[in-house]
Amino acid sequence: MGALTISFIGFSAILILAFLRFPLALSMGMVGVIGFGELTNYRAAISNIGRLVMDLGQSYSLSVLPLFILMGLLVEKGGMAKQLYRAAYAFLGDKKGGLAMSTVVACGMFSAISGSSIATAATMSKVAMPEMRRYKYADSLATASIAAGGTLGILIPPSVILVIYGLLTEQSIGKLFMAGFLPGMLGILFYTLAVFFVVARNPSLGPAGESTSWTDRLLALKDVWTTLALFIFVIGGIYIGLFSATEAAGMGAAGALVIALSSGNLNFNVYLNVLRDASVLAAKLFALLFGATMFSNFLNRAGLPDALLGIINSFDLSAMAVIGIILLIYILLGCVFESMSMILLTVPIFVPLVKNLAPELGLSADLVLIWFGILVVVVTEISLITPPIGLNVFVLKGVVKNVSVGTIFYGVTPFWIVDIIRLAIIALFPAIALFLPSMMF
Amino acid sequence: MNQFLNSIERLALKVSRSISLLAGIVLLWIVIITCVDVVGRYFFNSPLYAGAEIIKVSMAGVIFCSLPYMFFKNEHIIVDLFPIFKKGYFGWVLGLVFLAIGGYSLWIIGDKTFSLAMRSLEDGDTYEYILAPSFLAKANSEFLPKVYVDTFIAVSIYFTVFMIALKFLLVLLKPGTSAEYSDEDEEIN
Repeated sequence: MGALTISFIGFSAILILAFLRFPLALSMGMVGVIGFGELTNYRAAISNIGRLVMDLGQSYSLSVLPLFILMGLLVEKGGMAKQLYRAAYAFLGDKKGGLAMSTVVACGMFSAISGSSIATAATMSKVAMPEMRRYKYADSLATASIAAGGTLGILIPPSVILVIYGLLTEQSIGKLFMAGFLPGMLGILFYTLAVFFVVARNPSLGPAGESTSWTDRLLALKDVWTTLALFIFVIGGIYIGLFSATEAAGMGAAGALVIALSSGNLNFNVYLNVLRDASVLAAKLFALLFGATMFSNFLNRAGLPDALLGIINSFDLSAMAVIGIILLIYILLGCVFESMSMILLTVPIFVPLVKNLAPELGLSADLVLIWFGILVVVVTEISLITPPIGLNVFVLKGVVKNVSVGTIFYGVTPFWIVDIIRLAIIALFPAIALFLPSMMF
Repeated sequence: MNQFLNSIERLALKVSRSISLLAGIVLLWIVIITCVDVVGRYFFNSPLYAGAEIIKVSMAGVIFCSLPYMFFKNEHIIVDLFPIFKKGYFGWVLGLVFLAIGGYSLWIIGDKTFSLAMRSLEDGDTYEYILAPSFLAKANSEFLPKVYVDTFIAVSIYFTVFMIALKFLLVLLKPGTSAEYSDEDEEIN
């Protein structure tokens, strides 16, 4: 049986198990072990498992995950989203569509501390939605600005998905974080433009709010300086080489704890729950990484990367055309797959292929993987607002009462379009993502 | 009968929840270690001895103390495309199949990790920096922290298998119920 056929059978088996609601980690792990066992022998396959559990379970680099998750949860429970929104509103609220623009900017700022899109969307919806309803914003624009703004959580550092990608591809997490910064800022700009175009076409969708005096604006900024300082400390620390990503995560979690405690919103029980939630989430991601690594071992053993490379060579496609096809596959997969699943299933398949394109793209193997990581995360962001299962849309549906999924998807369309444009720009100009990592100390 | 099953379930949840709280405390320990290491390095020119290795070992606590709770509460990342497979008798059967396969897979993993722990003991494996505190080392024998950590990992996996087996029985004895918890079930804690 050829490499492609074997891999296809493995991939189909995972899909069937996943659709039957089997945990993804177990599905990937099982298929990986059985596939590897069939290709070599089961003794070798099972021996792999034990070693992998020991190594992954005692991994220094993996500690970055629970620490950044803890930092995000502390910020979320500390009630900082409200202050961030108020600060953004103070500057943008008096413009047409200003509340939606404020939401996008506040989502961006919240993403600078939280590494999760779902957490960003869920938290911001509780803060921004009542305000937008008070000013009679159309539900479509209000919910869409939160759903789209929330997607920035996984791109603007720190990002849980970038950490997972870095661990899977053995790339520097610090460089990946830096690479996500400018595309994330571009995201804020493009989403703000999307709001601008929507209200330019129909001003009644997003009326202007009350204006804020400069004194109040400065006061609003005073409330958020600690959060912004934490971001600058953590990400700036990585950038200038003050500490590694893992150390930054630990320092960031400590800083977030101090901020959350001083906000007075965190009692002992909430604090214990936050610690537990961060640990359990880290264990979930550990299980996924374990499954993905087993699956990846199987695909490599089956010879899929070489087989795919052979196909690409036979069609004589340019490197950019290959990247374009991969991104198209991601957009299609994004219609049916949840973000983390999509990345874990596809990265082991595409990464060896993309690595081989590095010479043609004029980049080193490491830089091409960092750039590809950012592209993957941007496509994943798009998948979060793509029908039929755009996860952020359903998060909004769960939190906001009396709004249909159709309304949110309708409102999200302009954001989806600017996202596709942003994806094309980052794909065509790798320097946007690679400028900061290449300047790192 | 149902009342009895519910109280068993509540007890199991409480136990696994308490163990997962331990994981949270270990996570706090990692935060403290990182801060001491970084502050010591930059302000006192003396980084924490074996800081990175302590974090590495502590990660085992964070992950493996969370596993029993994660599996008992069925807190996995799932592709939620067809919620229909969660409901009714079909969902019940699928839940049981998943628990059986999951339990068996973890049993194999537990076995493998236990044999690796025993091999560590035979080979006298040690960490690079974390060595025996002298008060714990007995005469003519070496205290090997690595063996203890490896054994802890194996035991945690076996305990998780036990929790899965318990969950399997609880679901089996309540035909038609889902193995998954909804958000409203949280108050059972």
